[in-house]
Amino acid sequence: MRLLIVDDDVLMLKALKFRMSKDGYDVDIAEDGRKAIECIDNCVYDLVLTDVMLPFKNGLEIVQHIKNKEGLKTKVVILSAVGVENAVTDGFAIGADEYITKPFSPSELSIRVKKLLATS
Amino acid sequence: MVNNIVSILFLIFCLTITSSNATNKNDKIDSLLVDDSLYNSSSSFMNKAQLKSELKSIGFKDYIDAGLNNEDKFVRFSYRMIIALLIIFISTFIFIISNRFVAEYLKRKKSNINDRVEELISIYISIDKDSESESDEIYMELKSFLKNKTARRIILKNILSVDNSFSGESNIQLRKLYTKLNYDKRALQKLRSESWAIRAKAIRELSQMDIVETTDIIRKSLDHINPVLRLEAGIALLKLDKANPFSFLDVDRELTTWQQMNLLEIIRKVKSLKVPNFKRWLYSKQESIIEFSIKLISYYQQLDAVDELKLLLTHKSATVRFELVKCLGTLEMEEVIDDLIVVYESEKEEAVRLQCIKSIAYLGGEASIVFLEKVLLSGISVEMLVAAIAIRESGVMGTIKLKEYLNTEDVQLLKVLKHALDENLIDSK
Repeated sequence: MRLLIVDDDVLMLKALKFRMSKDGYDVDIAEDGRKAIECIDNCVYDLVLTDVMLPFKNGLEIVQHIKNKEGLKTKVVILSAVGVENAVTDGFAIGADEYITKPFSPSELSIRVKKLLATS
Repeated sequence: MVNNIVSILFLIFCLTITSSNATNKNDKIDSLLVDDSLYNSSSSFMNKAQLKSELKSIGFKDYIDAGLNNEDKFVRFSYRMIIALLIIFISTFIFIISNRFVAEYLKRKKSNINDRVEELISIYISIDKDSESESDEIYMELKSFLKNKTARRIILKNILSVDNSFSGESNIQLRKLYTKLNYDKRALQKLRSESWAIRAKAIRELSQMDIVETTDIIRKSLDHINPVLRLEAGIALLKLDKANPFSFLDVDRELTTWQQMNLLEIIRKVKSLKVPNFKRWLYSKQESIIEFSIKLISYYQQLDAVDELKLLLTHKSATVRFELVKCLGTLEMEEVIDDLIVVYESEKEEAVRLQCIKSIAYLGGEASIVFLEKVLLSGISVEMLVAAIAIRESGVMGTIKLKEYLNTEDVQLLKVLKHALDENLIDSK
């Protein structure tokens, strides 16, 4: 299973990458929306974990980009901070599969990802 | 950088001394040569032997031997100047280059430490609870960094940053790591600092890391002269003082609007806060504390405080009266309408009067509509407009009521009604 994690917080990226790698996934990371789109265009991911507030292109644009690609069955999990609940609703409206609010427990995220991938 | 500046200044100083020395000697030579020419041309008080011995005494043997004239001296002086300037230029260049190398080296070293610390902390929060040996290894490596001040800062920055992003078991692990690395003790030391900024940072850190043991020490900062430090202490107590989180209201210090906003923001975020009855602070000596308590009564909907609030409606401070009227509106108890009408009729402050209209409108009911109609015909434009908008917002019946007045010959009322009923303005809202 291949995962893409998108967040502008490098420490968060590293921590999540380590955690997800430990769970047995192949993990790619991107620090901004533009790089994320590049990764999505060049590789097929089973799941994308993306923050909402990102440089260049925001998380919702990434969701939109994934959902616009025909035949792509990539699941999307939105990582949102408290106070951007509207973005989560918008994310669901355009096809996001799950969301998790920061701060979150890495174990909880791990379980949610596992469940989501099991249903795909 | 400072070293560079000092060295350059020293070189300039040396050059000045050398050139001034040379100038002094040249001046003396010049005067002697003038004497010499005088000696050749006419009778003089100084003979050649005297001149020679004088020149020797000031160490300018070459001058005597070569019989240098003023032009030669200028060339020599220019050479010296060029050499001095060259020395300055080269030394400055060396300093700049070496500084760059040092800065680059330090930057790279800092980046390497940062990368390693990020990696270690990322691993640390993801380790299984039962894998103690792995977490001990990480702890030992992080501990080895602690001798270096920059590394210490990097570790702290990373711990605080991760703590903000994650919750649950990871936070518990991180907080353990924080205390194990003695950061709590360092923060306590910072609390003794003379600088309010260092103390404020330490308070924020201890509060984020939930170091409950420091509550009493933090409390001391509530009475500090600096408002930022007082605010940090107040916020920290909201998180740390589980038994009495609002104890910062007991301190007889002003709570600025900015502080109140920040505290309200934190109050909204902190979960399972032990909420006291805020009416006990309604008689504080500090008006801003009364003001803030009223806001909290409104926020927590403490209906049992209504009687005390009503008693304060004649308070000397217009800000307090304003907050009281606003709060009574939000408590949604229709029986306070009569009290608000009394305040409206006796009030001179426009802001309070307008708030009375808004609160009465918010409370609704028959009495409210009767009052709003009275205000609509009061002849005071601003109040008429607020009342008209309130009537319109009360529902369809309100709009119908306003339209009934459209036949009026009162130009002022007509303008107000047209504005309140303007579809464009309603839509834009």
